[in-house]
Amino acid sequence: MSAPVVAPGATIDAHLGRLGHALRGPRRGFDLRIRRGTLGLTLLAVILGVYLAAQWQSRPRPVGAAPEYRREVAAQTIERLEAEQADLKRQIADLRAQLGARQAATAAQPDLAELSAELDEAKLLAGTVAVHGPGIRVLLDDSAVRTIPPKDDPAMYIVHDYQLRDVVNALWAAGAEAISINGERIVAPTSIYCVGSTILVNDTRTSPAYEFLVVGDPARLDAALADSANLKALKGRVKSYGLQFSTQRLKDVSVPAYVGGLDVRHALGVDAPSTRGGAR
Amino acid sequence: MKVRSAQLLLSAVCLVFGVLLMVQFRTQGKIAKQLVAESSADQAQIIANLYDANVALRKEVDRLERQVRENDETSGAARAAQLAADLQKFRIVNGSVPAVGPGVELSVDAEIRPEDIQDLINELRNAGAEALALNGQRLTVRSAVTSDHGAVVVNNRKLIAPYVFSAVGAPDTLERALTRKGGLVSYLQTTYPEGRFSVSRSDKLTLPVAETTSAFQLAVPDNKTG
Repeated sequence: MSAPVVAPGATIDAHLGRLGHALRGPRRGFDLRIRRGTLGLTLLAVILGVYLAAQWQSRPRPVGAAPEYRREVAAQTIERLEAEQADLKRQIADLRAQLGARQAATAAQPDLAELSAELDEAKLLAGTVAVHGPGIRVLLDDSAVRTIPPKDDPAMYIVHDYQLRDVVNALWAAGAEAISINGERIVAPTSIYCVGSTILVNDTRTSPAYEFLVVGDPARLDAALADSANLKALKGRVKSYGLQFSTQRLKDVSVPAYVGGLDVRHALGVDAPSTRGGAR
Repeated sequence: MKVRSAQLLLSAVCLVFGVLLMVQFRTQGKIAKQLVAESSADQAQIIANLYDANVALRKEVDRLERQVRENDETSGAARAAQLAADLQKFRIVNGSVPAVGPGVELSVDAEIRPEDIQDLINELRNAGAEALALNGQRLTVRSAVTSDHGAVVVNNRKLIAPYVFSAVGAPDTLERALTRKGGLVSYLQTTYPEGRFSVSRSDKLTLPVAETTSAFQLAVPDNKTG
């Protein structure tokens, strides 16, 4: 995918020199000047042609019309599935709100008040409720470098799934209470993985820049990310390849609710001694 | 007159040149973006993942609809039972109750790095683990994997190899995810050739309650929905 660049300097200068000479050339017959001018223009056209060709070549080469068409169809399928995903998430958010309202009404029954309060607390911890509080905003983006040296691996210049995981891990270690990446709340069943160079969070496609919204002690979170003992690999890429990584302390950050499924089909809870009260 | 036309021509050449260089420059700048463009194989994988994810989301919608309906149709004791069941589910997710169920155990007898442990946990979650424990410690969403003088630390406790991951969930799916060729475990086996990695299915795993499931100190709910 390297873009062949014809070194412009030398040749074009020579051509321009000759062109200039042709234009300014010693006075001869009018006809001759025109012919020289034409020659110069022809040369210019050739140079432009070469450059345009080089330009054309630097585009990713299509592997033929059929695969290109298939890619287009696949891209449309992805779009359709993503629209469906967004719609299902909206439905889940709506249904959880409806259920929450009904369960809140149930809480009015004195014998269920305690159970209901415990459920609210459990939902809060699980991340199905949007929260806000003091925290930080972290931005992680692909390299701002425009030209990748041919000897370098381009993969070094983009953000990878494991880097997002490392940042999330460092944030939890620093006492974060809630984290989202590009609107996807990080919850117990969340996985962050890549397909090719596309990163999926909660099975939702994301793209750079990656914005982390985090509720927690701003100073502690910020210090943990800045600590040279943490995120060494990521900081190495920032230094060597220009990945963009920045943090900002905020008085109030809003972290959205998780709107995916919480599939518990195989695990059974064993009543813990800590369970207080309950249904009678 | 001749000089002026020459200047004009040179200006035009310079202009064209500038434009060409700019285009070239921009093409180069987009290299990272081109890398991000998905290959056909990646597209197929993304479609498969999205399809599975949507099936799971639809199940959640069905489940929630049923729950809302049941809530409307029932009262008293039945409603209390429903609340209790919902609470139990969230407690399993949060690790605030012990969890029992079928699943797999992955044993790693190698001096792997904290990052590898993080990746293995991520892999198990991706394969649909409903509850996780590592060396007998329940993992929650907020469990961080750090290191202390080379030792792996999870939930502020030093662990030593072998690292035994217990995952409750669909045993088939979990086993397949862990043993597939080109998967994380086979990659780690290549990285740590001396290490011993084994996956075993279990009909009944018992995971303890998480030691720390501290309530939020700073995060407050936006509203009462959810």
